Amino acid sequence: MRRRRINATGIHEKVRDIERRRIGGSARERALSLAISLVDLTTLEGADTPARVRDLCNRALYPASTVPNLPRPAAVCVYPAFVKQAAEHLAGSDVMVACVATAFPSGQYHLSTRLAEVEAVVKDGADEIDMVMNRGAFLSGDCDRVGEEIRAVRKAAGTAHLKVILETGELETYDNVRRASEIAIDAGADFIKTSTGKIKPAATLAVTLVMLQAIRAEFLRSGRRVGIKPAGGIATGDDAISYLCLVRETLGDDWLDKTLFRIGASSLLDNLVAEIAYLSAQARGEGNEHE
Amino acid sequence: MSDAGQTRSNERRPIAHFYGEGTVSAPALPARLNPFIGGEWTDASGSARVEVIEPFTARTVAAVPIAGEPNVRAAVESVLAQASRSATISPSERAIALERLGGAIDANADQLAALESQTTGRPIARTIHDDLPLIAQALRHFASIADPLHRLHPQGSWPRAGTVIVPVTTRQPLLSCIDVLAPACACGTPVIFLVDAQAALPVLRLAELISDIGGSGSIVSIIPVAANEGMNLAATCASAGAMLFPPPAGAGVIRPALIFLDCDIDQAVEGIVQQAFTPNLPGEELGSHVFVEEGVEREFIDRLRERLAATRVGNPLDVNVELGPAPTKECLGGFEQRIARAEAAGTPVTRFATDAPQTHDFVAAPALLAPARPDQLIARQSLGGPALVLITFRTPDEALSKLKATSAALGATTIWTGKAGKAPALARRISSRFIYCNMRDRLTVGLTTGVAALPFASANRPALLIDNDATISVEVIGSEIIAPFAPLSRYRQIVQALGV
Repeated sequence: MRRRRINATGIHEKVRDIERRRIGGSARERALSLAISLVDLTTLEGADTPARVRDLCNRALYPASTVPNLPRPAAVCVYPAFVKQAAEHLAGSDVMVACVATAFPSGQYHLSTRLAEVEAVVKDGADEIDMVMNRGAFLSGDCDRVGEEIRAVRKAAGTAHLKVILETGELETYDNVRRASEIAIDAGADFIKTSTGKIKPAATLAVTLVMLQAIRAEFLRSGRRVGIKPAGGIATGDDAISYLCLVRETLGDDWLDKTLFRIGASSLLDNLVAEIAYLSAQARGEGNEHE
Repeated sequence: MSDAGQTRSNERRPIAHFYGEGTVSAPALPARLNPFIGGEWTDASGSARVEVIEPFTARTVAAVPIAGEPNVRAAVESVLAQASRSATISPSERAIALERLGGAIDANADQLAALESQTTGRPIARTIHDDLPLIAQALRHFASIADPLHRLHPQGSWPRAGTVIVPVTTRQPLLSCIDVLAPACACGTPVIFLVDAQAALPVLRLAELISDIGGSGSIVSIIPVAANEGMNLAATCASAGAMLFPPPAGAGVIRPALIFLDCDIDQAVEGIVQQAFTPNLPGEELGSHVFVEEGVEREFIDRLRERLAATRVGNPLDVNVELGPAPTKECLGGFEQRIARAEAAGTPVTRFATDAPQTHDFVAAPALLAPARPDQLIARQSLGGPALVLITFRTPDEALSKLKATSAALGATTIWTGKAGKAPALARRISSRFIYCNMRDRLTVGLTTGVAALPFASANRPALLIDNDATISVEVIGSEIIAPFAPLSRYRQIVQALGV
């Protein structure tokens, strides 16, 4: 695999350019609505309970009562213990059940344990698996092992979609992010994802751009489309819009779809809905209405 | 990404569909549109007026009185009289005036940027984020070196007075003016700016700010003139003792880029496209001639087509737009003629549909002319619009030989390579005043074999300038600014650190 060195100057220039975008008016409402349809609504707390997961699923099914015709988030994302519950709750809807697996967030368990976990959650009804890449192996230079493990999880996941979390905050350099992206894509990932959300920095526009470039290179090489999921730290409408612009301008309109683009977030949905409600009220000439 | 490159105007959604209205409000006009001579507002000698057009909407925004020869003669007499008086103004007073002007630029940046974008077609994202901060920075920089300049080169060693022509094709009239105004004021040299009326509005606003500051502003004259009259009037100035300052060092006929196999393709494509859409330096025209190593030709062209197909064209007052209209119909007509001639001469031409409404007469669709040969006319002439002419080469020597075969004067040249040692070796064999070397490392370094001219730079204009090993100006992107005339030892340290 050819080693690429990433030019940070070019990355930062593009990010600076993206941050200048301003989307207003009806286009902003459409962009925010699009962003809602891309959200993986997430709860990954040690203190999660069945009630909390139930509320999460309800929120996904009914994102807003005061704003009609809003799309639903793409998926809910929960721990393995709650997959069955979520799958039952969301049965028949278009909201997917994503599950973090393979000893999330550290990934530092025996491979057999991690694979067993994947098989179990698929059996419970998970549509999508968010696995963590073995950062220990990667940072110690054992990239072959990283790829083999991803392939093994790919096989264990069966027909479920596989997202590979790179945990870019631990990889530190753009070169590493690019290399990890290439390994994951080559090993069969359907999506590559920036972060677990458990450490800082989580997703940034810069690392996301590096990953998008890897996705683009794969598409140009083989025609295969791999998805992207920035996760963590994306909380506002402006944040979401920056990512929309970045993906659109790097990969094109085809990627502005939940089959190829997700945003991992917990509080983002609330903020998007509130802003759409506000914009709608303004358009009608009404006061400030929030759900 | 889908199949990119071909004109597909029916398939593209307009920019407004995705980005919506990022347009800033139309700016207030300058209160005064008269010639500004020797620090005073005067009446134009004739009654002629030029209608300043907003190119994106084709509507008239102002009628600017244009100066005639009597105004220009009066300006020369005034500045020559000032020249002797300015010798009594101390460097520190000049520095204070420059500092105050820098502050005034900052405070009025929005209006200045909007005026410039509205009338020249330069996207406001560039004027507000790149040009205006650079202008303020330049003024402050020269404020900081007014005293050492005076000590190193006392009054008398500078020109007595100077004249600068600012054509509308520059698209950056403010930067064009400040490029000369800042060092001139630091040195106490009076300057007359003959500004194409179409580009005059932001410069007249600048004149208002200078007038408000007073002091050293008396050595500046800003005179709107009719298009194409600049040279005649400059001759008048020269004959009366105000020498014509040479056009900006970056102005040239073609702006070549050399793309090597080992470059970062993504960055090279982005940099090339930005270069084709916006000038590197004031006075440059749009467009770029790209020399591509054969080993990377296919990948580069494919990537370039994708990027050009995604160009955001539209109202220059929209912050999301990256390519605005031509400032005048003449500019656009000239561009389209060159493209048509190239196609008739057998060069394959691809035009890229834009998001801008097709009703706007001033908007040009980006063009890719590939492959071209160095003996063809299109390879030797300035493009004047958003076009890329692509010529291939097999080896570095062949690249230089094909570049030379164009027989064209070279503007700012860029070298895209991943090998730090290759770029300076090539740069020394290219007869261009400014050469930017974009390597894979974090730093982007520019080399020139000419006179150090820009002691400041931005992410768009990095500069490591060598002037016969004597006068050096260095800036590393985002890191530090070193004043001109830095000691040679400092330059050597940086070169060592770069491994160049």
